[in-house]
Amino acid sequence: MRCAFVVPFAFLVACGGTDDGRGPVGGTVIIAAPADADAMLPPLVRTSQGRLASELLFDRLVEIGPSLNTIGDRDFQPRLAEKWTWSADSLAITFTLAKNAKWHDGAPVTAADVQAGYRAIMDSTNGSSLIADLADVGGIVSNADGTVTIQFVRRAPEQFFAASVIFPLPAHLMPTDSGATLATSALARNPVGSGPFKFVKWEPLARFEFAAVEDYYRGRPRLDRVVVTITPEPATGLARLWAEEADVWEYLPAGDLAEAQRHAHVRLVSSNAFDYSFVAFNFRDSRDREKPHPLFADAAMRHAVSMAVDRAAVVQAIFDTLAFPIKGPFVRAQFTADSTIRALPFDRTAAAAIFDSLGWRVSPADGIRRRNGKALTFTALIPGSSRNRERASVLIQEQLRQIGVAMEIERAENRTFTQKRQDGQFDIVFGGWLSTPSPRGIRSTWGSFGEGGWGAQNDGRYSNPAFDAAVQSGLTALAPDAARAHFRIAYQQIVDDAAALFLYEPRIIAVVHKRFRIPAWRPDGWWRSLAEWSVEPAERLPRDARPTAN
Amino acid sequence: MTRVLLLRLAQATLVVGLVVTACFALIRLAPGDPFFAALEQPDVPVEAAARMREQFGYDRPVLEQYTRFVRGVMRGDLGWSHSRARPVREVLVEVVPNTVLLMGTALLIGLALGIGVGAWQGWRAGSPVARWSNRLGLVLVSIPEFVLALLMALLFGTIWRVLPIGGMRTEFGPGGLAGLVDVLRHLVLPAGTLAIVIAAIIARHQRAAMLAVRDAEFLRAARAMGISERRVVWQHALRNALAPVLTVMGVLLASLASGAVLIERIFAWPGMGRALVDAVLYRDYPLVVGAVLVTSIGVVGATLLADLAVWWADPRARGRL
Repeated sequence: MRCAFVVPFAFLVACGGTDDGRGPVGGTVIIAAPADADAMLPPLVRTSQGRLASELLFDRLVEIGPSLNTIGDRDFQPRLAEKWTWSADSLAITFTLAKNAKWHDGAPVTAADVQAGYRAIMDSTNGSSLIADLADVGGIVSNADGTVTIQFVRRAPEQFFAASVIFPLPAHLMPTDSGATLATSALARNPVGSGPFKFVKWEPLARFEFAAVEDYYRGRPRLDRVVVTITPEPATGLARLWAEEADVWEYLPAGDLAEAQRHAHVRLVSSNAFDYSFVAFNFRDSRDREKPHPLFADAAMRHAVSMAVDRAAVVQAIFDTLAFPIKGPFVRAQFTADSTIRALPFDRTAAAAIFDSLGWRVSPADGIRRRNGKALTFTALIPGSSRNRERASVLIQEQLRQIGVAMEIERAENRTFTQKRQDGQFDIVFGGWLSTPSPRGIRSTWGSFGEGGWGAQNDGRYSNPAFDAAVQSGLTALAPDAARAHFRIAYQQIVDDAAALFLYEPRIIAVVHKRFRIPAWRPDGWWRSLAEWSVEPAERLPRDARPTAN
Repeated sequence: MTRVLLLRLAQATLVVGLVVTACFALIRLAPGDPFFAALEQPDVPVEAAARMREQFGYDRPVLEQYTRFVRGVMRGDLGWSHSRARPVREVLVEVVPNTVLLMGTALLIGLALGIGVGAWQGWRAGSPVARWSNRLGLVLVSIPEFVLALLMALLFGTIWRVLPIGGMRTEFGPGGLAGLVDVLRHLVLPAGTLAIVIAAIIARHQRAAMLAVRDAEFLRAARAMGISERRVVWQHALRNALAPVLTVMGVLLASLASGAVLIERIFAWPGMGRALVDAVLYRDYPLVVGAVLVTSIGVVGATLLADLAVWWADPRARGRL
C-alpha cells in the first residue's frame, strides 16, 4: 500500500511555469466542487467556491504576482488599472484604468466603479473580511481625467497590497433604494462583472455556468465555458472525474492517490496551501476567563505536552506525503515563511522529566499521572467536520496516554465548535486558519487581545508583548528582507512560548483532465489562470464543441 | 366522509403549524446564526455582526420575529435565504420539484416491486425461490443506504459506465425528448437505490400480510365459487393484505424523506434534502423553516393520502378513519 503514495508523484506536473503560446480557443471545463458558491460579489464572498466565482467574474485593480510578495508594488501586475503613479509623500496612488475595460453589459469601467467597490467593502452590513486590508485607506477620489486616486492615512509597506484587494463594482447597477442591501440586490443574483468570464446561470445546489467574454480587455479567454457542478460527496466527485463527467476536483484525499493513478485521462497537480492546523492551548480558565488556566497557563506544562507529541509521525500517518509538519503560524507560500525556526523537539523522556518536576507522577494503578490525587486530564475540542483533525486528535490522544496524560476528545458540530472556541470553553482546541499572502492576519489570530483587532481570533488568549512588537515591526518594515527578519523573531518567540502545537500544512493535490494545457497553478487561487487554460482540438470531448449562439 | 376529511385536514394543519413553530424556535436555540461564516474569518470586525443581524431583524425578540414570519407566510413570503443568496421561495421552487421527482419515482417503483414481490413471496411461501428471494430482501434491508448508493455508483457509473453518476442532466446534453431521456438516465441510480430499499421493506410487510390471509375462509369460499386462482390472489387476497402495508406507508414516507437527503448528497441531486441540511449547517434560519414547512406539508399530506388508500382498500377501516 505504501508504494501507492510514492509512485503517483512520478506523474505530478510541475507547476508555476508559464506558457508563452496562449493555445487554441474553445473548450469547456467542468469543475466538480463540494459546495455551492455562497455569493458571487467579491465583498460578500466567504467560501472557496464563492471566491472562484467572483474572481472569474470580476477583475481587481491590480493583482499580486506569483512571488506573493505583498510589500511595495514591484511584484504586482496590472489588471483593471493599467498603470499607476505614487504621490511625492507616498500617501496616494493614482491609477489609470485600462481604456478598453468594460462591464459585461457593455458599460465602461470608471473611477466611480472603483469607489463603489471600496464602499461595498467598507459597508459593515456586508461583513467583508477585506475591510482589515483597507484599514490604512482614507478614501478614494475620482479625478477629472478619468484616473482614480487611493489616499492613505499613513505610509505602510502593504499600501499597494490594499489596492489589490479592491474589486471595482458596477456603480450603475448598485442598489440605490434606501434599505436595499447588496446581498439581496439583483446584482448579487445576476452579477455583471469585468473579468474574463461572464455570468450565464446559477442553479442553487446544482451548478453555475460562466461563458468567455469575447471582447475581454486582456484578450479573450481560451476556454468557451466554465461550469461548476456541485457534488457534495468527495467519493462521487472523484467518480465523476473517473467517468469523465467532470474535469477538475480540487482536493484529492491521500487515500485516493492510487485510484487516481489508474485513470490515464487525468493528471495530478500539486501546490502549496494557505491553511494550517494546530492545537492551541487555552491560557485562560474555561469557566472564568479572568483566571489563568489551571494547567496551560504554565509554560512548563505546555512544553511538556508539546514535546510528548511526535508531530511528524502524526502528519505522516494521516497524510503520508500530502502535508508538511509546520514549525510556526505560517505557511510555505507566504513570503515571511522561515524554515530555520527551531521547533520544540519530540522528546518523550524530557517531557516525562518535566511532568515529574511539576509533581505529576505516573500512578501505578492506571498509568495516568496524578498530583495531590488529581489526574492529569484535559479536554480537546475538535470540529466534527474535519476528518483530518479528528484523526490527529486520536493519534495525539494515544501518544499522550503513553506518557500518562489523559486527553478526552470532545467533537462538536461546526457552529457549536466555533461558539465554544470563541467563548474559550476548551482546554486545548484543534484549530485551523486560512491565511493570505499577507502575514497581517497573525495580529488577529495570535496577537495579544486588545485594540485595533489584535487578538480578536486568538481564542486561547496567548499574549506576549515581545511577540506583538516583532509582528508590528514586521508589518511596518518597508523591505521584504527586513520584514522577514522581524517575523523570524516573532515566529521563534511563539514557538518558544509553546502557545500551540503547530501541526501541519496540507499539500493540495488537484485532479485535472489531461486534455487541458495549464500554464500556471497558483496557491492563492488556482482558478486565476483559468482564462489561459486551453484544449487542443484533437483532444476535445463532445462537450468542448463551440456553443451555438443564442 | 366530508366531515371526517375536514377534521383530518384541520388536524394536519395543526401538526404542520406545531412542527414549523418548534423548528423556528429550535434552530434559534442552536449556537451560531446566519452570519457565523462571516464572523469565523479573521479580520471581520465584531460590529459587523450586529449590523448584519439588525439588517435582517435578528436582533428583535423571537416572538416579534415569529409574528413577522407568520405574516410573511400569509403573503407567500418565506424570507431571504442567506446561504443561497436568493429568496427562500425561489430556492424551494427550484429544488422541491427535483425531490418530488426523485421520491415519487422511487416510491412508485418501490411500491410496485415491493407489493408484487411480497405478495408473491407470501402466496408461494415455502418454495425455494420465495425463500431465497426473501433472504435477498433481508440483505437489502440490512445494507445501509449510503453503501448501496456508493456500490451502485461504482458498478454502473465507474466500472461499467452505463449510467451517469451525479447531477440531473448531462452538461450541454440534448434538449427536447432526448433531454427528458437524459434526465431519466440520471434518475436511475438515485431513484433505483431508494426504490430497492423501499421495495425490500414493503415486500417484507406485504409477505407477512399475505401469509396472514392466505388460508382465510373468504378465499376458500371464492375458490369454491369457481373464481380463478389468479383473481383469488390479486383481487381478493391482495386487497385484504394491502391495508397493513398502506398503513406502514405513512411511516415509510417520513423515513424516505430522510433517506432522500443521503441519496441526494451522494448522487449530487439538487433536491430539498440537501438544501435543508446545508441550511441547518449554515444556520440559514429562513431556509430551514421554509424547507421544514414544505416537508411537513408533504409528509402530513402523504400520510393523509395513505389513510385514504386504506379506506379504499379495506371497507372495515372506513368506520375508524
